[in-house]
Amino acid sequence: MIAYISVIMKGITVTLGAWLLTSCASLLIGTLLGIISCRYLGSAKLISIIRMYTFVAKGIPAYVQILIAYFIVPALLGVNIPAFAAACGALAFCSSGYTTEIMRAGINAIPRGQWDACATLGYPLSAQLKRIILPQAFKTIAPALGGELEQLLKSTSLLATIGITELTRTGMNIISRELNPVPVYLTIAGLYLVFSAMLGAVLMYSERRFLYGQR
Amino acid sequence: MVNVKNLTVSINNQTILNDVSCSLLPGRITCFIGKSGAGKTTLLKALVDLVYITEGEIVINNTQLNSLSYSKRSEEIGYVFQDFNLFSNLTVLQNCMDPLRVHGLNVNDAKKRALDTLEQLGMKDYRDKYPSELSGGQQQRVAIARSLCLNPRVLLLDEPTASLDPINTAQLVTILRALRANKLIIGISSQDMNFVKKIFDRVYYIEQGKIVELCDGIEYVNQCKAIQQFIHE
Repeated sequence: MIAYISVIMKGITVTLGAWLLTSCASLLIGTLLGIISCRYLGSAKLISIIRMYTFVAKGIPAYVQILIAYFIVPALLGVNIPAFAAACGALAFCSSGYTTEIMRAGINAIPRGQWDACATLGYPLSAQLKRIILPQAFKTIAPALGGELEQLLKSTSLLATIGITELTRTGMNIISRELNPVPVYLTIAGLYLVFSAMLGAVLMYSERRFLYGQR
Repeated sequence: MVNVKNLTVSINNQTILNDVSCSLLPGRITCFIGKSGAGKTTLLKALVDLVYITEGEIVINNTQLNSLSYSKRSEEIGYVFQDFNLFSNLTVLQNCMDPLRVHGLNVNDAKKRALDTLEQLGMKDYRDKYPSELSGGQQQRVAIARSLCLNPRVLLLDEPTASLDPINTAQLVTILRALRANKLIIGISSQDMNFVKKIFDRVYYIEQGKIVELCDGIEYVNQCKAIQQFIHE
């Protein structure tokens, strides 16, 4: 295994890079769609459109979405989409469906009175969201959001299916040379566990930061 | 002075307030009394634009309420909710400072004004507590402080004694009398006649979305039949 450290490091870089890109996109899109589809702000038409999106994003397996993004979308659009971009785009599309639902549920859980208090104190909408509503919503949704980010980290292994040499694919390549799968798969599994534990620690720290008033 | 002229509010095709006219005067405490669902809270909410006004107008010191910007309106009228609605993610000090920061004050000025106001209401020692760590009476004083920080000319309180014990109610009476002495326009909706009797200068009796009677001073209360009847019910 030691001989393959540099190859494994490359695989780790691709895995973490894909995870970072897709989680940023998922959080950004999910927050935006969650806000505009919450019950206090969204119009019925807009909420229906966003519900349709989340239905599609959540209803089709991520694996199938990656295949569609890599094989079908370029054919339909007549453009060449690099494998990495197609896979990350598909994962972000899929994960955003979940983060949108999580964000919307978190915002809807904020009592109407908090919005009314902001209004009577002259907060513009951006300040209401930034200073009062989203910080309170994050307290409620932190565990669910953390779970989604962990799920996304593990889903990056699906990039292997369209030939991207991320961590899992790197392991498979090593096995095809060494013909000894046990130590390779155990190493790969161990690495995913380490990343999950690191992410879990960061999420736990973030959750503690939002535990206001519960000393 | 606040003038409400021919105000009608309908929600989901149901008329909550019907052609209501009333006024709130500086240095006087105006109470709105009536049974549950009479429209007292809706009237106060209309004054801060929390409900859609179907007809009529609200004039504050010769300025139409709907001509004021969102921000300017909040500087004119402070509103204390029945359940206080303090921001649960902010400490007592931050609850008072944050609206000032949103209104453009720098950190030092906002902090000074917030601390001064909290001191007036005896809540300075609780500045680092979160709302969930305070009692109902303490939360209410913070809510009043938060509204007063913006130096409004009008202060509205919705059912302020609904969750207070007699000691906190007595403290609230003292606070309101002090604010009245500062020429603040105070409007209160309440069903608690023991509390209303201690503080009111004027009382409007509301029934089924209409103002039935005005008692313009404690000396006239015996002449106000509907109010007398409500007190004795």
